[in-house]
Amino acid sequence: MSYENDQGGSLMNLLSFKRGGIHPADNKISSKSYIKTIKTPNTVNISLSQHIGSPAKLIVKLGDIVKRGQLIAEASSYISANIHSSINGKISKIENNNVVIEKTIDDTSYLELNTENKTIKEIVKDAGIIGKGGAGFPTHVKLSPKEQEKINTILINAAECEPYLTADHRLMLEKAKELVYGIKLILKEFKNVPKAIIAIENNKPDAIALLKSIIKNDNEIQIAVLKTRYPQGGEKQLIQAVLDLEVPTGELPFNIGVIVLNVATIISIYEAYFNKKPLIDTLVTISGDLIKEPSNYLIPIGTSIDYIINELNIEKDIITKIIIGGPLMGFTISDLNTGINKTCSGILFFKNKISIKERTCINCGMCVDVCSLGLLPTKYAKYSKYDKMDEALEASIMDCTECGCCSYICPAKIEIVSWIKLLKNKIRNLKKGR
Amino acid sequence: LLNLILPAVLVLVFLAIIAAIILSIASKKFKVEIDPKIMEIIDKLPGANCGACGSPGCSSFAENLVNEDKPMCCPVLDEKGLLAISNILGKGLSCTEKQVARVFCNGSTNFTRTNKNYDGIKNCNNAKLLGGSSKSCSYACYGFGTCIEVCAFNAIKVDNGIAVIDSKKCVACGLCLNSCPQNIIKLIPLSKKVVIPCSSEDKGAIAKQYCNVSCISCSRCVKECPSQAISIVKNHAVIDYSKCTNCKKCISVCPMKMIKEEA
Repeated sequence: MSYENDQGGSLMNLLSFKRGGIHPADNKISSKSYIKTIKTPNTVNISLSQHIGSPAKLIVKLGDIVKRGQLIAEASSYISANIHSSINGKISKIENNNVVIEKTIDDTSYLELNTENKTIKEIVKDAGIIGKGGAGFPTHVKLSPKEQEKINTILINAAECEPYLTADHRLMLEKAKELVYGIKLILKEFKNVPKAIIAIENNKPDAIALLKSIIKNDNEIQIAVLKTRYPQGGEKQLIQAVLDLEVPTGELPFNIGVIVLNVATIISIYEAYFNKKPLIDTLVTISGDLIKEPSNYLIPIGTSIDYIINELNIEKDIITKIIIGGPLMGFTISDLNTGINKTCSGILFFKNKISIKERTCINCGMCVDVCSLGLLPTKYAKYSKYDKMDEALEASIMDCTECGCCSYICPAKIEIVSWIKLLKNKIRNLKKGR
Repeated sequence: LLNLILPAVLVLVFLAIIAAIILSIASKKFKVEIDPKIMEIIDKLPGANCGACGSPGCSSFAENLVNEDKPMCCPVLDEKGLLAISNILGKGLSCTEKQVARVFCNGSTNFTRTNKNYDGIKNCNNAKLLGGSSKSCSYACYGFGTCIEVCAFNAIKVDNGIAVIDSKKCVACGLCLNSCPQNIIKLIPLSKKVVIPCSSEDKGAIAKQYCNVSCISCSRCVKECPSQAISIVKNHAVIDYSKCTNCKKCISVCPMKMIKEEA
């Protein structure tokens, strides 16, 4: 099966998931600007639970001097990840899963990882690499499935379907070689996997052309061109689009022999292996209608939003909304001292306030039409309003990936995803209680 | 026409007779003996199935009353109702002092400043997940009324962005206590009228910045109280209602004028 598609070819040839989906204005205004760095912040506020799973266990004390790249918290269980200091400094405050480090020496070099006689999986674990797609699943867990022989495909998620975000796009343009080497590293680990497929949406023709020119005569890596359609970059949707497989309810992609890795994750693996660099910086798209020069910045983890606002001369008074992540799946923040996480791929600043008034559901079914998983968002929103957990569970609310299509399309402006998140959270808490 | 109607009517009548025979036999054979006392008590109970007594509903509470010796109480019942049930049972119900739920926050939109911009759905639990409503004080009542939905007695309303409990309608079932993500609704004895409606754990100066009616933990009420009922816990004054005598001396000394006398 060939995944090759030409840009000029008919749209019918492009791969996509089978049902639902939306076409939001993509606003990728920062895709032309090169990756920049910002001045090291004076303090960083590093959270110990940046990943899915149990929070990392702190191994430093108050007042300790730490170097950039030094391990400050280690994985506390199987699904957990290491966390390293992102600046040279002194630990000044530790409170509820947050570590505040004050800078002592301004230096961008870092303490190198010890990679001697270690496998890729061990290096990935040591470097604290987690999935950068958004959920933050520890990558070393992803790379060690129960039955490794069963894995038959490695998918590289380069769809980046969220509007505004361009971090992965820039990485593909500026670090294309690193990306290819990174993929080869993974393929070396999985000896019986014949090839890896890079899945890119067709709104990034320059990246597609560049990657094609690099992997020209390579049989191990293929490129699949996808239709620009949200949520093409969702793990389940991507697998359906490229491989025509469906991930069963409650299972993970490796149960059907697929491992999905994000572009930024691969670059992190490359850097950990060749440059011995732990995951201490993350590439963030800074965009939105308030930013004069939307761009992509390499920012140390734990940098506060407040520092970024000051450093980039954003007019603080007229900000009405700050979103971490993309506009569809991200979340707004109210506390400017929040430090950015490893999973953060964008910070959007907006000045125009759109106040939406929720109206009554008219049962038009548009949310059902756009749901790429074939779920019933309108029902969940109502169940959530009246706390009907059993009914919602029966209608498989837990399969929802919270992609936000339903809220986007709703003509009554009901924030369906908020309601769904709320009910899912309640159900999870209840299960924990039991 | 008669050809159509007649057979239909006959068939239905025939079916009805058979069904009636089966049902009458079944009702004799499978008859469930219910203590008549239980039915009488159920009639006297409020019937809201609120669960405040600890039983899943009013009918199971009535069963427990009749079948068990343990002293139990329905906190919702008034004195008349209690008397009626005691008469049916032939023994007294052991009820503790009547209580009422109060909101321990006074931060209505007139008094509390807003520095955030909460845009999400109007639900207290959601506000908690997203790190608070628009109000500056992170311990304040969000005012979206999640407590209203659980109240079976229609005793709560949201006024100016804060939940207000009508003490006449409140029966102290305690459902709102658990529904509040901020944990600022508490049960206190109905006879005690003085309330210090603030739950802020911020230090005095900060609390004052956020809200005009916050407790700034100045301790003047603590010193003034003749029965040592008030203490400062987590930066706000708390009344120990087992000691409070309703003397109301604390109300006049409070520099923030925030100690309230409830009706």
